[in-house]
Amino acid sequence: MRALALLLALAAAGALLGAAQGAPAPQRMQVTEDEWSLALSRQRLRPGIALIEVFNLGQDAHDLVLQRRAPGARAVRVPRLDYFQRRTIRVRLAAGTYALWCSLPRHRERGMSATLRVR
Amino acid sequence: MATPAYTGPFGKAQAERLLWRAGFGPRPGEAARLAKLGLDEAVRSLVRPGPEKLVGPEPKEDRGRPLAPVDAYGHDHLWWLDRMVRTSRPLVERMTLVWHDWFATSNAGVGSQRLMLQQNALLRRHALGSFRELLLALTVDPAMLLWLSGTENTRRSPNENYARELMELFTLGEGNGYTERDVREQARALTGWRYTWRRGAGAVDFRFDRERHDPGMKVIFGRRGTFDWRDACNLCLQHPRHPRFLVEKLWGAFVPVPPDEATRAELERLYRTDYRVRPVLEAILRHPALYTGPRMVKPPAVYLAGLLRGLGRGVDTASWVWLGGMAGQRLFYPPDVAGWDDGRWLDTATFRGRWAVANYALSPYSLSDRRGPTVPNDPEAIVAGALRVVGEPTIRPETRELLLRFARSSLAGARTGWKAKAYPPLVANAVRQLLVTSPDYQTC
Repeated sequence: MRALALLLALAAAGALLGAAQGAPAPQRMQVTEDEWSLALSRQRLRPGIALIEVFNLGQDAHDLVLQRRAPGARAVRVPRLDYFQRRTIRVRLAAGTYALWCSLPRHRERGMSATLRVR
Repeated sequence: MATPAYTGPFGKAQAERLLWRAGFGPRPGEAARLAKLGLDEAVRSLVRPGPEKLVGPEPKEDRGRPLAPVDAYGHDHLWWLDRMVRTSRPLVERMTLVWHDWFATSNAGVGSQRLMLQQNALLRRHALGSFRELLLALTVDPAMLLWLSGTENTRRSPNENYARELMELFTLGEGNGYTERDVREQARALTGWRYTWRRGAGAVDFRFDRERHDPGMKVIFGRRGTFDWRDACNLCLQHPRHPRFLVEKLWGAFVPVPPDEATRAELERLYRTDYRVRPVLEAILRHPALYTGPRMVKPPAVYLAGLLRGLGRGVDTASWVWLGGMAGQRLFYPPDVAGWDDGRWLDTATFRGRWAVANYALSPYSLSDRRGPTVPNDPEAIVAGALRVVGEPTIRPETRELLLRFARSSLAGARTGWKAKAYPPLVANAVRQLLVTSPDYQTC
């Protein structure tokens, strides 16, 4: 009985290890910020986990908001970044259309917005 | 008259120098194999390589994930470093680096790793080919158009940025056979390029727009015509001072002292026929000055790539990005359009970076008295082991003696007791670090 338990434990550990090894790498995207634009390295991502890197190449500070266009969708915020600073966020994306923008006063109106499609 | 060729012994030491100057150093055993070919065949194997094979482990970041060169900061640097480490065509990769420095474009101004990587592919495609084709392609390369304001250069508002660098840095040299009027007229000839701005995607669809081009009469280098961007490039290439500029700059990438007059004239003749770089490179790599002249400091990227090749280690950490910057060479981010300043490769700040690079490179091979093989309490064996771990590089007898002296003095008080076991691995680690930061290994 004890041997069986050991075998089962080993099998479970093996399965977990296999899952970890076989897990696909998360998809990645870079958002480059500048005055007054956002540029996405990918226009489209698949549903699931994504690593999104926000990289401020502008001279001013910028932040970033990412929000799915759906009722009640929660916004993900990246705090203010100075020139050449960057921050990577890990998000779970559902199918749909996402709006991205810089929320500092008048930055969005000046052009710092973009759309990401997830499907 | 052909350029002179080196006729001295072509052994492992000479093959090592060739592999470092024309590539990223040897893998273990590679220098000895190349030496057996003799000089002519060795050079031929570099300038006429077969199809590229990437040899060694696939690159990855610290968590074992694959690289995302377009989508993650620094992965562009890692991606290229991996090519340098694993390539079977080292001269192609080295010339890609030479052209990156020559036509220095920085992502700090471009803002798109995708466009920078496209430019990198262009440099690689033309690495050993025609300088004319390379210049024409680069003049309208999207990253270059953004970097040097090519798309802001219109008939109504000419921008002189690219026109000036085209002559000053790319084809003629500062103030060498052109005037301020030529700069202004070249700028007019180069007008007409634009892109479409797509929200969220940035600059796309780079193209020539006749409406933006100035079709009027221009006078460049005393010649009159309704010149366009192709003419702007061709006029520079046909300028009598261009071949000398190209030969001296290209030579300087491989040999640290200027060529003698006869060599320079012959290299110019080789180049002038049809702007091909390969014959010039072949002559430089066979020239006695490369084998008998003074040593050159390895650029930081070359130093690191070669160290990893010698160790048999792949790209497995993103630390190379900040360490590259610390050592003075963050790929895709040259300091300005003039490229990197070779004189800073070994200053007090960048040497500290090199020291850190060496430390990080060697760390997976670090020895301990608690794990791994037992290190003999023997200075000779420790120095021999250090040389073995980085692929048996050739070092001067005096350097070897210094390493031995260090090992002897460090082990002197460790003949018995716990020190007899604990000290040898520590000394071995230190000897390895001293070896790869020694003048012999920092230069080639």
